[in-house]
Amino acid sequence: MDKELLEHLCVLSRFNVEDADSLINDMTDIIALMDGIKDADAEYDDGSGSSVCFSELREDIPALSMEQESVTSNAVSFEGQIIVPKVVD
Amino acid sequence: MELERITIRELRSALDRREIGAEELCREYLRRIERYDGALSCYITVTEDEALESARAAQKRIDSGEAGLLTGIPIAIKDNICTAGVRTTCSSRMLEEFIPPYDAAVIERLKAEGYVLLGKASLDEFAMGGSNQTSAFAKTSNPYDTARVPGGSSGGSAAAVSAGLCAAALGSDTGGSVRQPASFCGVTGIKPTYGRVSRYGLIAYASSLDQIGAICRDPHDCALMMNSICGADSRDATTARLPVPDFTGKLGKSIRGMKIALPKEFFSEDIDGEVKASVTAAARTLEAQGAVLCECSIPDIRYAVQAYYLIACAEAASNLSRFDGIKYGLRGEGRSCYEMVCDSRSRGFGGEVKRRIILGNYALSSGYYDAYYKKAMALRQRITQEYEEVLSDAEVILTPTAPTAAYKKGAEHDPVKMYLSDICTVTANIAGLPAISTTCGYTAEGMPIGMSLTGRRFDEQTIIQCADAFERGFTPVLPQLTEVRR
Repeated sequence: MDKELLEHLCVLSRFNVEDADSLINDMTDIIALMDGIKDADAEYDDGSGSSVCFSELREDIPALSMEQESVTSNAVSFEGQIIVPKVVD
Repeated sequence: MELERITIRELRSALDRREIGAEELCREYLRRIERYDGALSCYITVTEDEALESARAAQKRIDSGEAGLLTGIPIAIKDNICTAGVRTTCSSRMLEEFIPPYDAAVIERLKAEGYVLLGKASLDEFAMGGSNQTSAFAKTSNPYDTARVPGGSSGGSAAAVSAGLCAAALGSDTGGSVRQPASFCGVTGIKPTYGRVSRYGLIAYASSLDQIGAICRDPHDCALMMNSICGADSRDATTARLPVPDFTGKLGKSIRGMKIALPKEFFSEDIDGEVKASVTAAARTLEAQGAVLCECSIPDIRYAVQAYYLIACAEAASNLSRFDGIKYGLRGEGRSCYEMVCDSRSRGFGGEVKRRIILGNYALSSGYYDAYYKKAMALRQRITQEYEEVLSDAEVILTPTAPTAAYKKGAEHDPVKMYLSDICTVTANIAGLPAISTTCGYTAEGMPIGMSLTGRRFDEQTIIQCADAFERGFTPVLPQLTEVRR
């Protein structure tokens, strides 16, 4: 992994690029391990279904679950709405 | 009362016979936590006031003759399972101040039983790790040797049970996180079939692999915990709409004729010699009880670690994208929303979590998706088929739980080595099968060795029966604890 790829992945992951050299070393080793599957002769079979079975989905019936006050109780900055830095200049 | 060796059923009996009161029992456990947890760091949060209040309520229930199975039983909960009003950190700076406004489904079930929450047990950050050393708050030590890791990610839960700092604990298992620490700490841990237990309120790591399980003193106690936590839940569409059996139903029944498969890939030179010898001896013990041993092969095991990490990390990259510092969790700084999110995540997550998110985004990226993620999904199908083939003949697959016993702290700094050490456990998650780890011996240095029994989908009863059949003739060695006050 080079620095350009790491920076791209950090953008996707929403991380600042910190300790780049150390992270590049770790990720290079990890990806080398993952490369081991490239020699596997296996094709994904779309017809064999999901590995996760979903039971019958519940009816979409509106109901009170939690009060707004409890849901927003962990918000760092809340004044009737969650306050964030300016999104659009 | 020797809390370090007592079982749930013995406690149930003692409570029901009024040999001890629920509050007195709770205070006994709290005293042990105060006395020993300074050396072990099993708990991130000890809920003393809530525990005593629950114990008093439990006593009223016992007195009125309405006690449930777990009424008054002091239990630890892994700190990635939401507990209303009780801080749930996932061992991460990101959630250091997070107080869930709701209970996980399993907590609702335990509350209905009248359990006593002793506290929230430490884990590897966001359940990512097998050493418990990636916790931002409590790097748990192994009760048998505090210089060694307790395993992970449910290391706090396993160490707490092992040291008698709770009667039982809940953990979560995405790639072995219940079974491996249970093995390292000399206790029993069960990962139910995927879909057996609701994940509602379990803070997600990899949703197609995560499953809540129990860590207990022995297989019988695991069956009791399973009786309490299993069942369908409309809030988790992956829970199975199947009847939940009494998991104690086969306990004590003969295992004569039970076919147990030993995959040769799990007895290779990569497995420590003492571990191999101990698990092989356990297999002979089961054979002596009438079980029929047979060798088998699961060839695609050689790709299991890679397939597991690519799938788990891809799901983690998606699941953990919710932690942006906006609605809850650690909030960083920045002139724009984007900068604030990046700062929140950079400060909130530790190194291992970042590596896994980066790996997940790498595997899902354009140009890499087919080579990594899709290939991993193909291998998941193949490994599942190979397990189904073996289990169409055998009822149980017996393997070591980990390639080694608990190792010294410090080794966890090599991520590749750590990932490879998950080889014995990840396949049960890949295939969605139930598996139980129980102690089958000790190394020359006195560290516990665990064996794993993997069963057919939704047949936890048989693996519990088999583990129990072994444990009935096995004498456990308890850890010698060092007193260091919390």
